Amino acid sequence: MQKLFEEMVDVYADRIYRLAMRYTGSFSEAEDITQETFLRAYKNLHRYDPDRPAGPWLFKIAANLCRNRVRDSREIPVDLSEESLASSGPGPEDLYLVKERDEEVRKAIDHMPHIYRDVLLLKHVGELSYAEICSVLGLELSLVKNRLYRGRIMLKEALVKGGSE
Amino acid sequence: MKKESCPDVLTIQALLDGEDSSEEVSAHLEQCSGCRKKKLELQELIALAERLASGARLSPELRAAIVKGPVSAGIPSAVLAAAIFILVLASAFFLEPDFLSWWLSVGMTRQISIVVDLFLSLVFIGRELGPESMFFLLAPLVALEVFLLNRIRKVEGVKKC
Repeated sequence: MQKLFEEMVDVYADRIYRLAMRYTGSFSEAEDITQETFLRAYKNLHRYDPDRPAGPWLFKIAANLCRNRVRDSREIPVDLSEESLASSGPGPEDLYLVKERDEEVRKAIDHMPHIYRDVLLLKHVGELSYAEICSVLGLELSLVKNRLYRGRIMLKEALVKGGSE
Repeated sequence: MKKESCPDVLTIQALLDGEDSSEEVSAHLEQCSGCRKKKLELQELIALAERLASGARLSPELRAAIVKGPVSAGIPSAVLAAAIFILVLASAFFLEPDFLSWWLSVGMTRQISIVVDLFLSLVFIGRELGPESMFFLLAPLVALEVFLLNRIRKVEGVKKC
């Protein structure tokens, strides 16, 4: 049981962390949500069917936590401190560009209706397949494809609009 | 594939997302300029959406804490639950020896069920709350029990078993 849990952390922790970061815009909140996701998963491990992939199950927990957190605090903090960014890869000379680009994307995604945002984030940040997104959100495949397409168009429009302002 | 059987944009999107590997659609995209244009537009959309992804990684310390956390939270809680349970029984017996005669009077089956239920409840609560929260929740209850038993002893005096 413990080994299974460790494997889940190994495979999904970073992706869940990145998803939470995109939803909340805060590194500390993302850490909290990642921890809480795995704590809940551990407590309900007896309900998990090892024959099925753990991804949709974990992302369902994480996405619910993210949505609740964002709903509870509409004022989303911007916590892209230099220290946080430095730990995630880019060198000091890239910091400004990374920060600006990240802020632009965050604004675009924050203003998007949540039904499109959920699908986009699960696809591009959670790296889930269509079938897995269907399972996480409880949607039909055709709806997932449609929302992904529309979401991508909305994101492009928001980024173009943001860039021209 | 004729023009009227051009795949819809969602099918092309699925192909680009690696969700559909239909050779028929791929072959059609090679031949049809209208669909190739759609494909290029979709590729641009996907490339923009890829900006959502980041290379951020969870710190090794937090990762280790996540793996270790649930285990360490469960075991001390169970140990603490057992300790509190023994303390409650012991304090009841030492402060009110007559407690023993009441205890024996309820019958063996009931005694066992009370003990098992109480212990399991404490373990369950402990797992949910973690050791610290559980201690702060149960400590006032134990203190209240000790206080009440002490009052009984003062009012009624210590009875001989």
